[in-house]
Amino acid sequence: MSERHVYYPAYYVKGTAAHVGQCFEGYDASLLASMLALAVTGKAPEPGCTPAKLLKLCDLKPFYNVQTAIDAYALFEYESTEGPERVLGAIKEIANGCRAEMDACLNERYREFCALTDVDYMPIKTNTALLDAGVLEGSEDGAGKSFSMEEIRALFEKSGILMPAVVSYYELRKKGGEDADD
Amino acid sequence: MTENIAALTRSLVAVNSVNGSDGGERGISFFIEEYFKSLPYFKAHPGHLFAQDLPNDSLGRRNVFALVNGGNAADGRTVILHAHMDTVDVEDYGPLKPCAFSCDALREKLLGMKDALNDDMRKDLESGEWMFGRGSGDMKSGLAAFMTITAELSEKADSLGVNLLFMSNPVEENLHTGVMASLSVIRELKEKGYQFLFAVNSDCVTPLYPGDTTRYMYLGSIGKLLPCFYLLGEGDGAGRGAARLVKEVSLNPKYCDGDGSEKTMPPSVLKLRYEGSGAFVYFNYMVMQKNTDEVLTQMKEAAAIAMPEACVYEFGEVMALAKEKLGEQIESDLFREASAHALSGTDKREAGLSLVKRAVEAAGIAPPAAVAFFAAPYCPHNTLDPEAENEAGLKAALEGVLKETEAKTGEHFRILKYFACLTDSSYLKLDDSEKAVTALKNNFPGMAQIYNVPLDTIRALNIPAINIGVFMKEPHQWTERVYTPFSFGVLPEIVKKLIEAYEEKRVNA
Repeated sequence: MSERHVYYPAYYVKGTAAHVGQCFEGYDASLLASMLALAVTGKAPEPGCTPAKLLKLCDLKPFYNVQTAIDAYALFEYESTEGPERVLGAIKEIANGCRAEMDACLNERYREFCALTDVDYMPIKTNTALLDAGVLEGSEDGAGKSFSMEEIRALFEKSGILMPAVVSYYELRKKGGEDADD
Repeated sequence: MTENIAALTRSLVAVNSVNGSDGGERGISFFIEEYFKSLPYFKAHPGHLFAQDLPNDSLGRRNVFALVNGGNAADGRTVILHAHMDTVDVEDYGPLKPCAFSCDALREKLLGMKDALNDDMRKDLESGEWMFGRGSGDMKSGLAAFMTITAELSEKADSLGVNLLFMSNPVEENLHTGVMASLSVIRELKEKGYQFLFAVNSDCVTPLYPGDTTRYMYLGSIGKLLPCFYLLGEGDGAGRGAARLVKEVSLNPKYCDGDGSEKTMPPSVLKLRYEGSGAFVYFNYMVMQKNTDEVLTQMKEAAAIAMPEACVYEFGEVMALAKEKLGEQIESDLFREASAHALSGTDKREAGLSLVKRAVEAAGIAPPAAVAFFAAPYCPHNTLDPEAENEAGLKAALEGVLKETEAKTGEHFRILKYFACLTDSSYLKLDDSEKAVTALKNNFPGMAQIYNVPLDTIRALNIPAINIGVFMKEPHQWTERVYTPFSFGVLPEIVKKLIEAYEEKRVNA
């Protein structure tokens, strides 16, 4: 059997904040992060590997207010026989599926709300970028390096991207003084 | 007047008053005070301009009041004009953040990137009729309108047929402690003989669907609860449970409340945090009529859907179990802890969670489990009562003014019962039943210490609280913008006409 490796992939999710009174005008980072958390966990990525485990799932709101979360993140323990590039590719592929799930969920719930309030439904158009750390850093190698969430957040802000996005990356984790994914 | 309001809005936007920022809200309270200080009426009556420090507020925030005594105001008849002075933060502006407090600089920047904007935003930008910037719509334009109206009416105070109380409050964007503190000032004024006919807020009004240009007027306020969940799981069960709970509840119309054709927005998740074996999740939940106990039951059902393996409790049940084990002592222990949290300024939701964790431990509850409870803020819902003569009279007076304005300006108006966003107006009138209030208190850990809403004072004052708001789009987003022709031109005339209607005593009050 191939050697199993433990990875710590993570998603940084950038949404669009909205006032809770206009919640359909936003793109809720916490909702998308929740979808990602459920899509990655609960099943083994490959036969013989343990199911991916959710380690963290948080919005990044600094304090309470009535705006939905502008960004959120999810971190996993992920066992695989594959190399880091293929694992990150699989993680990005899951994000692709969740992007579609989010789009469908927002529109389904908005359509239902419009029916309830007797307002003409007009589809919510979402346009969510899927990136990896390499793209943000301009290195073309998103799988070869680990980052802290704060680093990814800073790189994203520097990128000037205003649209919602999901950034897939490896989390920098210290275990016994070494990076766990080394 | 239109130009004055526009200029004052620009100046108010330029004063950073982000909610919770160090010195921001306190700073703008002095700006507002200085504005009134320069007016002849307040030079002649300096005691009519006063500020109130918010009790136990670590940021030194203040309510500002400007009272104009009408020379012809009979029986202490008084109208309140109120507006909040804080804004949400500017993180959403991203690279445009440096311009967030400058309406003109931001407009220039946006013009430079207009091809990247959506059609609606670009059209508004190019029309020249919209003003941009943090707080431009929510609600420094409304604040500017009310400051300007108060200033103008103060010039004819001798002949004014009502008294006018202008009030501006901080902390609207989260805890509403500004307006709550103001109730003691209003109560004192009432004891001195001021009779409060009604209050007008100018919180921002938005289109209800794309292309909607109806100017909505609101006869009351939606209420808000903050249902919270503490989830305990094995493995990553609490995290997956939290994710499923967010998927079940957030934006789901199944959880909307309503009154006739008016409906609330669905709940939105405002906190999601999982690490280790526990998760903390809470939602903004709006109500028009739904009782607190009904909301709690529904939220427990949602927790059961999210964590089918878990025992689901409400906080009151956890406390009952804890008391069975430890006796009444646990209650006084939690009371002490809640008081300590209140004094130390712990985030009010985190303080509630801490009390829940302690009660769970005392009750010996083991994972997997979910506990549903309430935390701050709690905003009461209210609307005008058609059975009450003064409240029906206010509605009729507003209808009259709008009819006249519609004929003159061509604007289209619609009156709705509940302002659908959270607003300080919630705290001026209380329609909740005693039963609903009891259910809230039983499941709101440390409510008396952490978030002591002056329910009795609100009930005693019972001030009809309507909203005549500026017209804007996309509050709390970097695309926030206010429509100036209506907000700076038509709106002030509506407010003045309504006041005039009461001056002339055409309305029973």
